[in-house]
Amino acid sequence: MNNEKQILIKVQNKDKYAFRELFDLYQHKIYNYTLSLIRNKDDSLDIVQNVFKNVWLKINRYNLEKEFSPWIYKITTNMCKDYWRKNSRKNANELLIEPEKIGYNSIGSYMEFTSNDIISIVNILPKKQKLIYILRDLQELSISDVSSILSISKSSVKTNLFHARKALQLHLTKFNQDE
Amino acid sequence: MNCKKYEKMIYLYKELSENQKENLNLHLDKCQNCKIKYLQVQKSLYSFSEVAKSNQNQITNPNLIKNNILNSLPEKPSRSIINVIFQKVDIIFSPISVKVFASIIILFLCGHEFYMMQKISNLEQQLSVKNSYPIVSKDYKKLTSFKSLVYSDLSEENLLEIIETQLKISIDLFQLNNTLLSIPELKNINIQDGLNKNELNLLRVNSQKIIFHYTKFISKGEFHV
Repeated sequence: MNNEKQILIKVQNKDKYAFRELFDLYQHKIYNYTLSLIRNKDDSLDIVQNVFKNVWLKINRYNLEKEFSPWIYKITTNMCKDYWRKNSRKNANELLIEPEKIGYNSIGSYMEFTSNDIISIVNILPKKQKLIYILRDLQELSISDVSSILSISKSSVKTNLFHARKALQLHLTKFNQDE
Repeated sequence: MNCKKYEKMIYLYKELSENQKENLNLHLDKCQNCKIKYLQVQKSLYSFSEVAKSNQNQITNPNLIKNNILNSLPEKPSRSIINVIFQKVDIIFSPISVKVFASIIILFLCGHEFYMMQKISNLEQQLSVKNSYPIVSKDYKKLTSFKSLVYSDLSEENLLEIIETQLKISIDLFQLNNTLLSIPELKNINIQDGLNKNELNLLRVNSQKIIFHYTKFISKGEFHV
């Protein structure tokens, strides 16, 4: 049995020390995922806290035979979608993360991107494609995990992924040409 | 050459099976445009995702967040009645539970209806044997209307008492009076005037006679129910 499973068994038995370890394992992934989706640092931190509170409260519903990461990503995704619904107006007006570094002039200079540049670039995608691209290419989840997190078919995941990658590729190429 | 069909494969290279990759590679060896496209996509998207993964935002003070969460956690999940009910609802309304529950209800209703029909049929037989002639179907319908009263295991006497009481209520009083007139010891009782205790006792004692005469009238067609 791997380390994560042992931690999860302890968390199911309401062991707070194990819960700390679980938090350490997933905090940055969940924070980054949330921040990429909602682009607001304070609200992202709130969502991270709520995600982990939910994990604690609902951990007994989690089936130990399955992978944990799709389960926690599904909780996070649903909270972000909820946030989008509640803040559809707020997002339009409020200060969001803006790109800090727009000085890239060739593919080789991607290394100069800050994390905020990346979030801004990914944000050119429609919401569904953005979710799928982030889950698959940035959070490195499998196609079947993405499909179960978003409750859509694998073929729909692939189609959206194709369009997302194509749009990003075009955006990056166009930007290079403009520069 | 149909390059369009390979475009999707170029963008979904990571997701291709070994066979599909081999198929694409064969095409790339022959088609220079697709080869360039493939290299561009691989280089830019791969580099972009790698930079994105290595350059992620960090929670500035994770310990503070962790403590906030831990301090706000309940020691144990709330076991209030409402929470317990809502937890159970998940199980109750799972598709299998609903089917099993519905099946049990349907089986119970069918079984109960069958039991009632049997019981009424037995009563009918008992009454017709005692009175030496069959109870006509209209009477049977009247009897079935009593089935709510037959739910508990009543003795025959109790049942007759109930039927007797029901006869007073559910059958036309004029017809019942006609029946009583034909029984010498009851001919002075007028149902329409209401019953005192003695009269009620007389009806109870003579309940079988009442039913006998009443059904006799019906079988002779002397009056209609």
